[in-house]
Amino acid sequence: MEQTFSGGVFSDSLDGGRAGAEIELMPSGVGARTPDGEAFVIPYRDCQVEVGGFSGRMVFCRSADRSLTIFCEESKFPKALSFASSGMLDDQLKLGAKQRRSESRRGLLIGTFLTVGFLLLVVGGYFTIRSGARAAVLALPVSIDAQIGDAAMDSMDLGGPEVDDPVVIAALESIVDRLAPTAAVEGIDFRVHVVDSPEVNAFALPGGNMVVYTGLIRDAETAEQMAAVLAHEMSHATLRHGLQRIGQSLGIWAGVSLLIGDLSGLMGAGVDMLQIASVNSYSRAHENEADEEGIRMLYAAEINPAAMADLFQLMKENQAELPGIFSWVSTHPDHASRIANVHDQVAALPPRKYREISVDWPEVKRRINQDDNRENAEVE
Amino acid sequence: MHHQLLAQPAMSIAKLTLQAGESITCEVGAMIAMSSGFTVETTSRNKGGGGGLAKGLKRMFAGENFFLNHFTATAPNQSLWIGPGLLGDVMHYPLSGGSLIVQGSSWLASAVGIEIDATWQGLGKALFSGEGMFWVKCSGRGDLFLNSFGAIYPVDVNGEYVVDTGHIVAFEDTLNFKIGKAGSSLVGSILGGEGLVCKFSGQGKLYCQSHNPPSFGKLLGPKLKAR
Repeated sequence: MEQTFSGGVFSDSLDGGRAGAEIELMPSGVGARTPDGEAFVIPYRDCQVEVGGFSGRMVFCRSADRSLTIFCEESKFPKALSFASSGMLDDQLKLGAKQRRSESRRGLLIGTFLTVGFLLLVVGGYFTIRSGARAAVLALPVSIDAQIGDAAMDSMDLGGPEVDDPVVIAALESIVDRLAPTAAVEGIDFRVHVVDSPEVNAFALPGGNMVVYTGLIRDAETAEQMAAVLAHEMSHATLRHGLQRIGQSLGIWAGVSLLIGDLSGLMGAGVDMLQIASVNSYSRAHENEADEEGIRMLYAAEINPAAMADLFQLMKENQAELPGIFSWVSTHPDHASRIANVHDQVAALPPRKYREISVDWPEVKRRINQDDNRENAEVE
Repeated sequence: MHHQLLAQPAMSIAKLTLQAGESITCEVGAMIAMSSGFTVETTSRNKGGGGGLAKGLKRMFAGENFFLNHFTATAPNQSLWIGPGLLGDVMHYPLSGGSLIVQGSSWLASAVGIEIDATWQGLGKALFSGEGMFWVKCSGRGDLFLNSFGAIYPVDVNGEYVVDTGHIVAFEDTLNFKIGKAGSSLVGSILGGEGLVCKFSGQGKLYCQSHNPPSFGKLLGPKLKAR
């Protein structure tokens, strides 16, 4: 059975040394006929077979002195060659096919290895930069917290006018002053701002700025409960939760710039993020940490930490009455378990004698209400 | 079709003279000037219907254009002048069966009987050959015009031959190459500025370019003013 295939031939006798050719498997050997009519034959017994070429599937039949090469890429050619040569060339064909398989396996292995390596590098690099940026944020001096916090405080919309009643401010400042010596980090200048708003809320910015809304002051029944709020907020500042959050929110390039010592990305991201008061809520983990640290501060300052649990309980009840009001507890998730946690922590503390806070709390509340009445009167 | 290569090797262009009814397929943007007796057709298909959207996309990955321009002469002795974008050589290769594997951006023009297709070389070669991810495989019969950056020199390979990455213009399909290191040690190869090289094996013609665009870009880039 004679078969023809399309292929080519290399020979010095050809112009340019190469020509396309029609390959014929003849009884005498592999034959090739160029379009110009030149014919070449390599007897099967002289044939040296190699497999290669760009596709890796091309079969080359070389004459004994290698002056003539006939090649073909067609997929049916190797089988036909084996058949036509009565199996004489099988060993060489098999060797070629084996080499090709091992090369393609090797190629696949290297390719897979490189792809996996590259992906690992990208993913690993991303997380290294992220965690590196977080670590770098915490290694920064506390003065950075104050810079970011002050810049945010200056530019943010507080949601109401600041209250400047000296009795109210003095009362809150005296509570802060009593708690401040127990702070875990030195060098934070705690400043408390009171904002006239029905919101039952308070928040802390990095570096010691705290905002308490009059709604929360009106709800707090005792000075100790207000001390619990302030201790919690001061803990956010001393534990640097604000900066940790900015660190987490940093984009990858801001993270890289932070790692090489450029703070502008961090400052920009921080001020931008903190300007919106309503997003000044922290993660549940941070809230629990701040509760725990707040309780420690209250206890160290000889203030009864049970006030914190009392306040939570109170706010939970009030919230049920006034659903939808933006309240200090509601911004904090899962308060039932939080109240339980606070109870447990307080119960675990060794008993000690607590000192009362020397603030006339009913007077503070009266002042707040009086301000409100005055405003209402002005409106009327 | 009659062709003439002018101003070789630095600023080469090709002058093609076509008779009525003859066509040539060119890279988009290759035409410099032409006689008035040509119709120009722009499609993503090879002349005669082969190809289409998928082939066009493959060509794009190979560093060529999605579209092809087909110039058909409508009168005798019409001349068409074509040239590459970069300074360099243009070569003519008469394809007579078999295939020529062309580096991504080197294809300039080909006769209608030549099929142009993009071919994948495997990840290792794609990443390290210094050429595109895909190669352009030209097969069939007819005239093929390629361009280079710098001059083109042909090498008759019979056995093994080493070319630095980025210097390949085209090679015949009877050749194959592997990516390898220039010296015996990888560190030495990289410090020597050669890094990885393409090691050819087999028999056939290999066309190399004297310069490579990435090296030129690296020299030129820092001297350019930011826009």
